[in-house]
Amino acid sequence: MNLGPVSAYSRRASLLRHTPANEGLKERRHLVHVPDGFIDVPVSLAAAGVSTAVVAVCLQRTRKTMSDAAAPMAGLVAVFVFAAQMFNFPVGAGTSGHMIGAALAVILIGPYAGVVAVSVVVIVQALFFADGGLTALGLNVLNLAILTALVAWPAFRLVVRVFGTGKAAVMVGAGIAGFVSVLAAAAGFVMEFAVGGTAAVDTGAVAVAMLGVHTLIGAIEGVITALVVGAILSVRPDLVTGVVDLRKAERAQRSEEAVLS
Amino acid sequence: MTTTGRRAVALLLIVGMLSSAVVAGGAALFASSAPDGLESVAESEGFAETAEDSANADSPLADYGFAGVEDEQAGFGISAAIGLTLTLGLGLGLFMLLTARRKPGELETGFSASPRKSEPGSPPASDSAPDWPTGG
Repeated sequence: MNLGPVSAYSRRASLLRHTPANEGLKERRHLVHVPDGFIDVPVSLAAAGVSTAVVAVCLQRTRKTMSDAAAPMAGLVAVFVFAAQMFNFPVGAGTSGHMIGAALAVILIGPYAGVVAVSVVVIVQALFFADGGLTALGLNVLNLAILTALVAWPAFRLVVRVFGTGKAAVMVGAGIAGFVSVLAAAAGFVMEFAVGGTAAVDTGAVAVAMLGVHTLIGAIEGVITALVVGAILSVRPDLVTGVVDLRKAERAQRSEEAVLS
Repeated sequence: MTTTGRRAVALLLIVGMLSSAVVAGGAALFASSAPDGLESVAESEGFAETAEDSANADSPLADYGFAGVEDEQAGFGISAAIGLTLTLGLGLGLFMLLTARRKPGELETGFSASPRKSEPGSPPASDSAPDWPTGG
């Protein structure tokens, strides 16, 4: 059987499945981000530009707002996100999903540091573990660190502003934030595919498939985010940046009311 | 930093690294090897073949393995340990560098992790509004 040169196709096939055609090539199990080739170079570079600008702003804001004592927690959040992204759990037949961890990051260390932490993880994965393409790095930072934070933070803040900062409300907010963040990442990929996808594949079908499978993955992301945030809230509520200011305001209001009554 | 402060940070680092190590260890033992969401969609919708290997696809840590270690789980475990250490070094290093590069008095309130107590020398926290859209 003449297989011709080892093309991207056959190499890629080897990443997905062991078939007789690619026997001998390495099977890969943990390749979880957008690889090079899915999205054309112009769109990839545009995404890299946007990501660079946003991360630069987030670095600047983090420098100005993060207290010295908060740096260790922010570093740990990056480590935990790295670990969590390695854990692929099964979702239905022949498919798996893994946490993104961006919602968790923004709730724990704030939106700017959260974007920075997840970006660090995505960059480490691309540079050292060949997970996610190098040309596609900007796309992966945009989808996984930025678009996720952009919806997770407002969603979480909305819930805790409306329902208060009790443990139940915080966990519900974290769950919703986790869920919508995964859908945002999936929607980001669909938009990039619509503009710069290299395959002649109907975008509508990709959108339906992406959002379908990521609804399930998002539900799991939501549950895990809620559990982790709930656990940290019980032990060290001061480490849940997303509620610290609101809780302080609630306490101030309570003491004011106590004085007045 | 006071001795208690240093102890609290050390405890936080130990607990944080241990929980991440437990998650990574769980991944080594139990993670599903089925293609993930994006990859399965790429297969089912027929654009998986457009993927190309990145320039560093042959890096010793590629695909969360460890070059030379045949056993997949062992390779994954070593790779995970290196990844956690790298991320801690780069992440913690970056955040410490950012906070260290702040000039005195430049600390603003806003959304970033807060310490348990205000640090000596830092300006008193004000109630200024956060500059990030707060969604409510």
